[in-house]
Amino acid sequence: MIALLASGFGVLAALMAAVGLYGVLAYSTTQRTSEIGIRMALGATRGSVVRMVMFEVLWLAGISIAIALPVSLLLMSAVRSQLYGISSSDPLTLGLTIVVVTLVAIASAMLPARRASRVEPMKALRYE
Amino acid sequence: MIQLKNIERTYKSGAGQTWVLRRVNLEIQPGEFITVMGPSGAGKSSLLNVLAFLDDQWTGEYWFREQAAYTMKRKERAELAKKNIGMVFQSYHLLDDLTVMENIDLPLSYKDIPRSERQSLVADTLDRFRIVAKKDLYPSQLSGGQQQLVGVARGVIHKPALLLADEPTGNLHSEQAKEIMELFRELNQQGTTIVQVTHSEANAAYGTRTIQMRDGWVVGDTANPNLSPANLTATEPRDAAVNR
Repeated sequence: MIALLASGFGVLAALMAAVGLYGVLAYSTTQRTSEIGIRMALGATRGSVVRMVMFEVLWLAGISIAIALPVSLLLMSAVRSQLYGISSSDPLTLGLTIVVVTLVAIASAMLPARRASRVEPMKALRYE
Repeated sequence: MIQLKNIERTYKSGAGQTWVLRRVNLEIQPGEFITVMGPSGAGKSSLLNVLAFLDDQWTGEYWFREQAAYTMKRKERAELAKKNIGMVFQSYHLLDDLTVMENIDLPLSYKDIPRSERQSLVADTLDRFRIVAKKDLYPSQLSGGQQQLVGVARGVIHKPALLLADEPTGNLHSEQAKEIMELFRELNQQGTTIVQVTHSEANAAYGTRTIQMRDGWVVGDTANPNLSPANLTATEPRDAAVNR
C-alpha cells in the first residue's frame, strides 16, 4: 500500500516535471521564433529545426543528470538505514531513472520542437 | 534566369481579401542589377518574398533557371533557394549569440559541405570583406554598417546566383549605405544577379534596371519602354496598361 502510494507520488512528480519542462520549452521556442525564421530563410529544413530543439533539450537533460546523479547518491546513502531489500546505489534503479528522465525530457520537447519547425520564415522575420 | 507569369498574392482581410501582388509578369536576366521601387504597400517586399521562396501562397508561374518552381513542393523549393539564393535584410537579422564567423558560416552549416571546406570558405569570405579582425566579435559589438557587411557576407558565402536585398541600407547612415552599395556593385560586376528593394533614388542609381510598383501592380520598367507610369492615361484601365 505504502509502496503503491510512493510509486504514485513518483509518477505524479515525473508528470509535473514533464508539464513544467514543456511550459519552459514552449516559452523558449516562442522567444526564438525570429531566430528560427532566420535559420529557415538561410536554409534550415524543418527536420534540422526539430533536431536543434531536441539536441538542446537532451543537452540540458544531460547536464541535469550529471548534477543530480552524485547529489542523489549522496542523499540516498544518508537514508540507507531506511531502505529495505534494495541498495542505496542500486545500478538498475539509477539506470532506469536516467532513462525515464531522458524520455520525459524528449516527450516534453516534441510538441514545442514540432511547433518550431512549422514557423513560417516570412512571418517569423517580422516577429519582434 | 527568372520568369514570373501572372503572379498574384492575396491575404484574407475581414470578409474579403487584400491583393498585394496583381498579375506580375517579370523576366530577370543573369547579371542584372534590378531595383524595385514604389510607395509603402506597393508589394515590393512581397515580390521579394516570392522570389526568395519564403512565401508559397502565391499563384501563377515562377520559372527559375528553366525549372518550373511553381509545380514544386515546399521542400524542393527550399532546396532550390538554398543552392541559388542569398538574402540580405534591412534589420540584418544576425543571430546575437553567434560570433561574426559563426553567423557567416550559418548558411553553409545547412549544406552537405565538409568541415575543412566550410572553414576555408569562411576564411576566404572574412578576408574578402576585410572583417577578419572582427571574426570573434558578437553582433552587439559591431556598428550598423559592420553588421550589414556581415549580413552581406553571409548572403554571398555560398556563391548564390541570385542575391535579394530588402532595403539593405534602410538602417544605415549615408556613408555606410554608400559602402554597402559599392559592395553590391562589385558583386554584380563579378556576376551575381541582384534584386534590391529600396526607397532611395541614390541606391537605385547603382542598378542597371528599375521596376516601379504600385498597389501590387508593376507599373514601370526601364527595360520595357511601353511600361512606364508616364504612359498610363487617366482613361485607360490600369490592367490593360500593365499588360500592354
